[in-house]
Amino acid sequence: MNEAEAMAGAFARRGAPVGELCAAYERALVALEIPNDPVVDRLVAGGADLNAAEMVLRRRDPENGLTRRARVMLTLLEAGQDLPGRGAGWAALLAAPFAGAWHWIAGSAALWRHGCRG
Amino acid sequence: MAAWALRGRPGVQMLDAGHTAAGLTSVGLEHLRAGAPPVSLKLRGPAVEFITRDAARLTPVVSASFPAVVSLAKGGLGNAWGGGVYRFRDGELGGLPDLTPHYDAVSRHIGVCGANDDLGAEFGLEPELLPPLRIGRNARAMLENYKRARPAGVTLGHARLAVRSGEYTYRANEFTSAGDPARYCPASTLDSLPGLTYSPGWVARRFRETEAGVEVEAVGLQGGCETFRARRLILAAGTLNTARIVLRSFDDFATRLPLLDNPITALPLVRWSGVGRGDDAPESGMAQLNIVLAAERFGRKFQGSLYGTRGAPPIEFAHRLPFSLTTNLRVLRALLPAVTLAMVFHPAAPGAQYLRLRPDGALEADYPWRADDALTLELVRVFRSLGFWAHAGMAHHAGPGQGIHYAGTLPMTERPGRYQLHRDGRLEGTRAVYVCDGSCFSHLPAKNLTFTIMANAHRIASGLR
Repeated sequence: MNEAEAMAGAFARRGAPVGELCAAYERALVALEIPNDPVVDRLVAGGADLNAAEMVLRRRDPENGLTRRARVMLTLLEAGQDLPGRGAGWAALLAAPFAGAWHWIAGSAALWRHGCRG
Repeated sequence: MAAWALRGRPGVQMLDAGHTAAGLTSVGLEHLRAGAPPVSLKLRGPAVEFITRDAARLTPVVSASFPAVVSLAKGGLGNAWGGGVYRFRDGELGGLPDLTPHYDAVSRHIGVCGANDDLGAEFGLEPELLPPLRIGRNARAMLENYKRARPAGVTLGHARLAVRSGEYTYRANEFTSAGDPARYCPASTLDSLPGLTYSPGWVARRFRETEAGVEVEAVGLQGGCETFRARRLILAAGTLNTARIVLRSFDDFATRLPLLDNPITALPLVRWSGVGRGDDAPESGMAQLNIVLAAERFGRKFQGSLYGTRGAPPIEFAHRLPFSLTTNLRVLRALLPAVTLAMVFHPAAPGAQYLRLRPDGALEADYPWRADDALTLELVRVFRSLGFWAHAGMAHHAGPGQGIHYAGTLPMTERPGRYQLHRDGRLEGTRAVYVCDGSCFSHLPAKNLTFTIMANAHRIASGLR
């Protein structure tokens, strides 16, 4: 799996046009002159949980390579505003700290496992 | 608007870089480039990137404190304006004369929607006001709470917008999408002017007065340089580029021109009962309400615009929350329907801020400014009294430069000196050079100035014989 596919897998929702998205992502990285990043390379090669790892890396450096790439991917997706409804909305808010804690553990473990301890 | 005032007159030529959205091949994510300065949400995305295309290369501004936005597009920054239509009231016009007939003429031309509500005293009465755009559940609740609570020193009402409301298409991501034709854009006026010779592809560099009139040296976007001749010259290149042209025309690399802008405080407001719930009918992505805070109660007069959250995609905010991006997006989808964004403009105060031309052609700007924490606390209190939760820690202070209300570099005064304007717009020391953009203002209240720029340009051009 190359970087674009891994990023789409981590951040795109089910049903997104992955082929189109990956091509646009690669064009955008070139146009924005975003350089290769050894940390991202290692995480992609190791099949790490990029979503969780991004959260931990963003706490260390808001402008890190993985966050910049994720923002490109999500902007290309133009993440929509489909509304969850009142009950599901409150559930999402209440669940967020638990999801955050889980991602923090999973992301820290992924970075440790792939030698990106920073 | 000066070109519109001169419609039908023979021999009017307009030089313009004139970028348009046509043929754009950019990926439109320039705000994600490393080191990119902070930029308004209204200027992000492929559909609006033409507005700032080439500006950093051809008309650079260097500053650590003033992230300037310059446009070389046909219609300029008007392609991305919020559409706010506010007349300057007595005491706000500075050195400008009464603009009432010109406000009226422009208002009829562009189409203005809104309501003659409590804010009428602040914004003036429009001759032909179209019905306001549909506002969302949160804005409706705020308006109802306001009518009940009437907090001291606070005036709230429908936004005044340059939108033909009956033809407006309600849609998400208003500001990152191509402009709605119902929202007025100056480029549309240029497309329909009899007698105007519109010459795109040129960036004016300098002027020189001659016996016969004025010569303008312009650089072509495709290279080359050409001299254009006219009896009179009206400069309307935008406040920053007009200053650049004037200073370069006198080879003046020393003078520091004054500079004004409205810094912004953005404050998210939450109405908890709105979590996860949308409106039955889509709301406008433009400003829905305006709020004015009186000087008697708040020290200075402040004006704010209140937006729903449909104007920009959630990804623009996702990296600011503490969780993973996918969790943040889930949180935002739940939370955003409950959120209203208050954008509060600060009045511009004269001070040490300046603009200077460097020998390399770049403008140098400096604009020291500090956010007022006491005002933030006041805002939180005001919005809580209107039924919305807010916290001072969530305020974002977008300092000078990000307001994109640039003005005051060549102010109009009673007895103009060097780099100042006569009341007819003529630049002191010249016979036939007029200025009719934001440069003219000697004073900048906390109010969008675009409508007043249009009215003043109409006045100056109408006065030319």
